[in-house]
Amino acid sequence: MLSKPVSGINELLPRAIDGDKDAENEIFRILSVRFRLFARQKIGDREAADDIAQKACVICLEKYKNETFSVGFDAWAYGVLRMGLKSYFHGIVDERKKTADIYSGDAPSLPAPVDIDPSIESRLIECLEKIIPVNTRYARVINLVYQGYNADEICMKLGVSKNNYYVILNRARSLLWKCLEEGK
Amino acid sequence: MLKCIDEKIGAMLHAYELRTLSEEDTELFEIHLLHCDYCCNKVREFEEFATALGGSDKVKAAVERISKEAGETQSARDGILRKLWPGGSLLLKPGFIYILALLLLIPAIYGISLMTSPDYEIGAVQREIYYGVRNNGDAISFSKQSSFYGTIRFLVPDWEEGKKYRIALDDPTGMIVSRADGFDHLDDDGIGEITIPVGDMETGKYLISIFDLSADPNSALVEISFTISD
Repeated sequence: MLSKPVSGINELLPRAIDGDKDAENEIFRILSVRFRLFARQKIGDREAADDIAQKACVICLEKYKNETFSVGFDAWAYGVLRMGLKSYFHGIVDERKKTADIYSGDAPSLPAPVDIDPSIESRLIECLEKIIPVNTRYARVINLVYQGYNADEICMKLGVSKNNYYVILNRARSLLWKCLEEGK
Repeated sequence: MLKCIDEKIGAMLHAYELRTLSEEDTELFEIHLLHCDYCCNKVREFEEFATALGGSDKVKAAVERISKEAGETQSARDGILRKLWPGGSLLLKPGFIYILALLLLIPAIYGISLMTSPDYEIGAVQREIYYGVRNNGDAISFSKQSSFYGTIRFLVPDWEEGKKYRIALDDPTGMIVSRADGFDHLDDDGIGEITIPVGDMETGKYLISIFDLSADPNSALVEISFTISD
């Protein structure tokens, strides 16, 4: 346990560098949770995502004491994860190229998305059925997301500013979450 | 942590979960997540649902179906709105005409209800009828002051000072046109007068009834008739 409450990794870092094991553990607990989240956000394959996150954490743990952080520890650690993700995607592209050469046809698609718990799907659909009829703009956003549009393009299509776009999404999310959490 | 440490960046939360942020904003938000337990917890608790929302074919199909149904309801609503409020001049919009008609109808209905109320019928005429003490002239007479007003003088039999009377004026059909309760504007001879808007009154025979309120208020002391003609 830490001797006093701490709020962030940048505050913990000097103590970890000075040999405070609790501070070091806390930094890597924080990083490990976040890195897994970030990697899963970008990679459909959960095992691969967790693996990349873990590797990035290990690299950070091994190197942080000897690094000079010109952009801050957080940005440096984040950069380590990004490097891991880039290598993964390069590997995928190379693999696809090789496979395409072998079959002389269409390359196989990227890793299949994770298996989704059917109960999660049902709960989500149940709540979307309640929310979409009263929030058609949210439905429009989701449909545009499905069509592959990014935030800037969606804002342009809806004729709203970026801030308004975030507001629309967060209001809908609050309703959705309330419904998912409480069944309302 | 109960609050986001930077709400401006925290606002990107659901856009991030839906993976619609640009690479630059994604990086900005993820660096924020490294420090913000509040947002990080939110992303984590919603992670499974966000994955389903973005990646489940079943959810995608459901969203499309629900959107279509909601869109149909919406377009039906829009259709009605377009019919009621099309482009062009305000005076040509059916919605505007309906509103205008409604605005006119309210006072009209209110007016009709007041007019059909017997109290108001009496009151409307009563406003133009003046009861008072005789100025001069003969008792029990009807004289036209002008084409609009006429004065009726009447004698109250067995008049006593301080007594209160009811003076009722009935039209030719027997309806009460006006009634004054507690009337005591009588001169020393017991003569009072009523000024009536003859110009506005229908022609025919009118009846003035005088009741003694201290005796039997339903039995007239005297009835005086007069006729309004063209």
